[in-house]
Amino acid sequence: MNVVYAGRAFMGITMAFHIFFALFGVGIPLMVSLAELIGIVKKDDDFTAMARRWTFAMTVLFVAGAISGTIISVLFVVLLPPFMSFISKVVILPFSLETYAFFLEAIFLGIYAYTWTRFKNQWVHWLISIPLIIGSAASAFFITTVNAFMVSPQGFTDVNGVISNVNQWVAMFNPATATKTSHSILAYYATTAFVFAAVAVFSYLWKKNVDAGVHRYAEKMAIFSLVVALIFSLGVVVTGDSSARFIAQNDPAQFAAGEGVMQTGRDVPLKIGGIEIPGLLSLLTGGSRDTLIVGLDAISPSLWPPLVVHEYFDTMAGIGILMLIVPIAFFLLWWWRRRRWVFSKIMAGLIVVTGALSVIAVELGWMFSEEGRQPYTLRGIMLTNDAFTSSTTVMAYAVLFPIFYLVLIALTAWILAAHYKKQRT
Amino acid sequence: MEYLAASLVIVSLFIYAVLFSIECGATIFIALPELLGGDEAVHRYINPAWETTNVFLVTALISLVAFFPGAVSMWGGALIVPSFFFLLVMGVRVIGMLYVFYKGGKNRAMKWLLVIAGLAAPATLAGGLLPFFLTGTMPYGAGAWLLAVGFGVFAIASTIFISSSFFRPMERFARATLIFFLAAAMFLITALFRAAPHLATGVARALPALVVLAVLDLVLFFTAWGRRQGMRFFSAVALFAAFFFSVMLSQLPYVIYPSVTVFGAFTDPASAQIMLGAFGIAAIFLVPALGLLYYLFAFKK
Repeated sequence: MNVVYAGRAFMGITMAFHIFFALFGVGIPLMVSLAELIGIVKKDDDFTAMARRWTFAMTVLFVAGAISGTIISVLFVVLLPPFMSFISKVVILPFSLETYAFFLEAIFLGIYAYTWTRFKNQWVHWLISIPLIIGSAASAFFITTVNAFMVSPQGFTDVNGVISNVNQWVAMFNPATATKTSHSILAYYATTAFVFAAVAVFSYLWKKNVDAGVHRYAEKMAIFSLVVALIFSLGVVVTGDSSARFIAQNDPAQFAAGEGVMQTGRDVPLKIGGIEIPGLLSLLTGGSRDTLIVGLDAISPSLWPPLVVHEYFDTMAGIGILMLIVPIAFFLLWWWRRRRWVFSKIMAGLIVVTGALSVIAVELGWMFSEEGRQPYTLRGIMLTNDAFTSSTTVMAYAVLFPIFYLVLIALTAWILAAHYKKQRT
Repeated sequence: MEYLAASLVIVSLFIYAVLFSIECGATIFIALPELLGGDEAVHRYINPAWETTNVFLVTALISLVAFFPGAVSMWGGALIVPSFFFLLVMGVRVIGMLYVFYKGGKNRAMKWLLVIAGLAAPATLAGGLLPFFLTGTMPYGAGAWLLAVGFGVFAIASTIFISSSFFRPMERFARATLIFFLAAAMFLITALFRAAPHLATGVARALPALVVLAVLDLVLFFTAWGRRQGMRFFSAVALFAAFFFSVMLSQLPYVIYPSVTVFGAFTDPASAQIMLGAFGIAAIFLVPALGLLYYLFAFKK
């Protein structure tokens, strides 16, 4: 195992760990705020209770997200000095902006969480959630623009390694920014909502003799979460489609590997699992079966991403479709007044499974994005092999971090489980 | 503009040092409840709301990277091992903090973990990272090790000094912590003159600022020490500030002695302007918000 491989594994594990917490860091503030809003407008104490109870999870997960974010910011500098040296000259502005946005989030999270009983007018407390939502979404947005830059670098002139004519705004708002940021942030909202729906139905799924009040509360939480999940899942599918088209146009290697296209041609089938649907990939990509799709045969194998990205992509897209179908089915049954089915064990089981899968889909999405860009760290400019430090000390210490991540995940899971067990749902 | 950017880094670091001292102090003191005499106020400081403290460190780090890209490849590559140590200690601290936040400080192992992490975190940050910027050598030679020990001990001393002046029950240890702080500062100064003699020329340049600080310190010290709690905290911070800024200002214009200066490593003027502008706009929102947060927590019961 060489140093770059160890460094990549270290960075990859840290990213996976960070995104697990960060997605809730972005998603929960919106859910909390919406629940509090409904509670105020409809004068429904169940929703106010929901918002208040979720606040605990928000703060605990926030701490874990913050430490993982701090770790990443340091790792960027010490593990990838050549990469960071380049980034610091061209597109460091979003890092600064992200820090300020995160600052806003951290400040208002503290204020929001500990002023529940301080204001007579509930609206004042609700207003505090607005900067919290803006801060969390903006920090996700800013940092994702850097990821977009890594796919489509622009905003500078590079003559034999000498960088000039830097325009950080142009670098930040590059062609990949719109699809990357919208697709990922909407996915965090959809996923958080789905996980909440899963937690709600989970609380009464296998229990007999659930208290009527608890049951009502859980039903409200499930329905509310599924509405939010449905709305954002629609957004995720739409932006996912435009994201895929963008990749098809701008990074044929990633697209071909993601879709498993070996040979260039027209009328290319869509491959899902073991099934091929004739002509569908061409149709989806260009609007007609006649659309030309570049296959891996047209690209030098040294520039191929690892072919496993096809599986990542398929699984992610499959889960995305499931996230759309399950709430639609739920509300159709509701509409047909099949209440027995709506709250049946099968439906509840589906929601729980999809909730868990949605988190995996976010992870897979990022794995597709990161591994699909290989062998480059900065597409067309810097190979991953050149982006890492050459220091061999990395490996010995890198082992300790995953252990820390596991302990932290176990600890937060235990705290949340213990807290909510004590306080019901 | 170079000095403005440098002061952004230094001031963020200073605020971090003060706030982090309070936080680490809180985690140390709750482990020694007999010292507190049943005062529960310290527990309020073991709380996710204080996550803002870490953001000051990230601000300092990102500002250093953003404004002085020419230095990144050098210190980035050199500081892997001390950075890993610091991050792991911080990780342990977060685990202990979350545990104590939820379960209270009853578990013995967790309490001692927090005490150790609370002392080790400032020590590894200052002792592990700063000597590289002052000597430019890695791995550390004898001089840099002397500095590492000097900064490490000074960081521990100032953590205890600042935090014990902040928490009321610690008042009885005021004199002891002050002596410890001054002794550590003397030791650090000796180490600095041995291992980083270039600071001596820097001190001359920074003299006017230091004279102002020293006068302020003396005034605060004689008017406030031993009187009101709040004033005692401020005079402790001012004393720490005098030492902190003496070292930082004397180091300028070097980022990494002797090869990298703030001028050589500085980003292009257009980027610098944009980022200073962004900071200015952000500050308009963040400063009042921070004020509100600390008002709600520290001063309002």
